Amino acid sequence: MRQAWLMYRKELLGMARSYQLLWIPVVFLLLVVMQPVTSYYLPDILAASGSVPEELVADFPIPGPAEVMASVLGQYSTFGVFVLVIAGMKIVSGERYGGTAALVLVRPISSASFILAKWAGQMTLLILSFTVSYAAAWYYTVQSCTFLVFLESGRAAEAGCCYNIGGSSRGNILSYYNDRIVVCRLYRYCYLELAEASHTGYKWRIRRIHAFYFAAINP
Amino acid sequence: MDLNLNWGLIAPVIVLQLLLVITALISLVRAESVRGSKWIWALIIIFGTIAGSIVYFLIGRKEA
Repeated sequence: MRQAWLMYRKELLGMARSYQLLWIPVVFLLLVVMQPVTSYYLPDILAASGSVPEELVADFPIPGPAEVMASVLGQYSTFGVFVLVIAGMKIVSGERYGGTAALVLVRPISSASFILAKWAGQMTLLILSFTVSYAAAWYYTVQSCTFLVFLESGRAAEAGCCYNIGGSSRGNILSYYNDRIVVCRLYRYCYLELAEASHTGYKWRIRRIHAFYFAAINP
Repeated sequence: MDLNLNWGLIAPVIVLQLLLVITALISLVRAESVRGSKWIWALIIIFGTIAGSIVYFLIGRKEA
């Protein structure tokens, strides 16, 4: 057991020296962190690609936090496994081919502890990469969601709808629209929508409500 | 397109990407020999960013 422990420490040192202990967690992080970011900007990306009809962008289904996390797990089972397997496929054969395995195994070290140390090293790498990157994916998914809090008062919808406009242009819009009933109905609609969106906590809903509101008051 | 990006979301990705590219370049400079010529790998890492660095670490490095 002491042999295996020593070999395991040597394995970790080797992984640190070959930068594996750094680059594999970083690749995992980039891989999973891109998933929430991509779903956050997906309507923008679709709109920027040009050839997509506008209705499709506007009606694009917004992935919920659970869906984003599920697709992150999907990334592990494809690309994550690929990277780990390719990076670790030569840990034994490479040492045999390079001749270092012979140097180690002529000493009284059992091949079982040799293999056990290699396996434990790979497991350490996997657990480290998975833990760090899944925590980052969770943080990013939470960050992509926002919680509007100013909904308790009756003027909440007004606050929500004018969130992006700023003070001055808001006055212009209201004076331009003399038809108070239309404006009130819009406020009412946006208020209900915003309340629901902030309850489910997804920023995309809120951005789309803004877009709807602006489209309604700027025909 | 508005450039009012959410930098809190984007900046860590850029930092990680730079970290990966710089690690790959340091590893390339310090390696005694690599598969193929070093300057081609340097171009791949710099212009391929994430994918280029991954490809370098996976197949460019000579183990042992």
